[in-house]
Amino acid sequence: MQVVISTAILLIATIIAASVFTAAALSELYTFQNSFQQIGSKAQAYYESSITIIGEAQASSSSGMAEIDVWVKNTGTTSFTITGTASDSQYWDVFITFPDGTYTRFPYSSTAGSCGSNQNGCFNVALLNDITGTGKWETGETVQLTIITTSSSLSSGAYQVSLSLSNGVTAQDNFSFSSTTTTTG
Amino acid sequence: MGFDTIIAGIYFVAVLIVSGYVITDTVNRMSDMSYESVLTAATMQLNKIGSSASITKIDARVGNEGGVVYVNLLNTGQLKISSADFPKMDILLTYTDSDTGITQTHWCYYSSDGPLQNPSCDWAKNSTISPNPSPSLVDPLNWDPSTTLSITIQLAQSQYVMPGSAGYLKVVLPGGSSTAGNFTFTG
Repeated sequence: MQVVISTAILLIATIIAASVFTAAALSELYTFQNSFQQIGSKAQAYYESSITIIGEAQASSSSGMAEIDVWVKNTGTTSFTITGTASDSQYWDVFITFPDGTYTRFPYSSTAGSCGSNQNGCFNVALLNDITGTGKWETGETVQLTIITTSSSLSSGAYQVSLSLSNGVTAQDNFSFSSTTTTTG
Repeated sequence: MGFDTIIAGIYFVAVLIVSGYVITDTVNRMSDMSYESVLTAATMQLNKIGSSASITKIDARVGNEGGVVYVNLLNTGQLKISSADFPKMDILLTYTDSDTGITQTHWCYYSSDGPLQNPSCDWAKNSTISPNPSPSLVDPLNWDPSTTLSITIQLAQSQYVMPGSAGYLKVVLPGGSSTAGNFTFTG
């Protein structure tokens, strides 16, 4: 009788231990699954994102600072929010390499045509052809980046613009200006 | 073989089945995601590689209503561009005014009702040409390969331009491929 009770107790203890182990192991497996799904989702968003810089032009802003206008086309299938507090554009990186070899990163400004209190230049974003009317930058749509520099004029020569989106997708393009005065509209 | 051994065996097999299911499910989901990503990326590239156009004619004039540029575009790609995708085309018009020496660049808005709806620059299908795109034996609304789309680019009167001004036109298709050409405004 004593042996049967001992065996039963041991059996129950073993089942409990096995259940605890199984629950822990399955929990870890599901965590592993979620992690891989997140990695997959991010990779998917990256591979489905594509942007193309289609043109650049020099302009002068109302504040007297020289501007560079850059037109960028969404040639991928991922859409981006460019206005409001949840905008993706506040996480974008815009770099300009100037003819003298120096380069500058321009921060985002939500105020059109102004950098606010930022003395180091900035960039604004405007969606030009919101075909679907969602306010998001979607497939085939074009945005205009207005980069406000800290100089009153831009020297002639070779420039490079680089735009990195919040998911790491990057586009860059080389362009040059002549010494003539230019405006955009 | 005791009762406890059988229970342990059943338990072991159950754990193996559940673990196997979870791992297989994870791999399946990852495969599906990878497949979709690769498919989408390939489609994007095919849209870019398979679509191309060339400018066959540019006629730029300065009239009472401002500068007008008439352009014929030949679809030299393998894909048709549907009329619904015309708003996804980009027209970048740059010109240096011969009088002032000022260079201006405009991203022109698509206007389905014909120019001019926007403040500086609009473009639309040339309404005086029919059929457009041409020829249109099949699929008359869409811009098929080997057919020509005629467009009109209208600059607003406020956009000062004089005859003799040199210009540069860039047309970007919905997939991102582009074509460009030079022209001179005539009186």
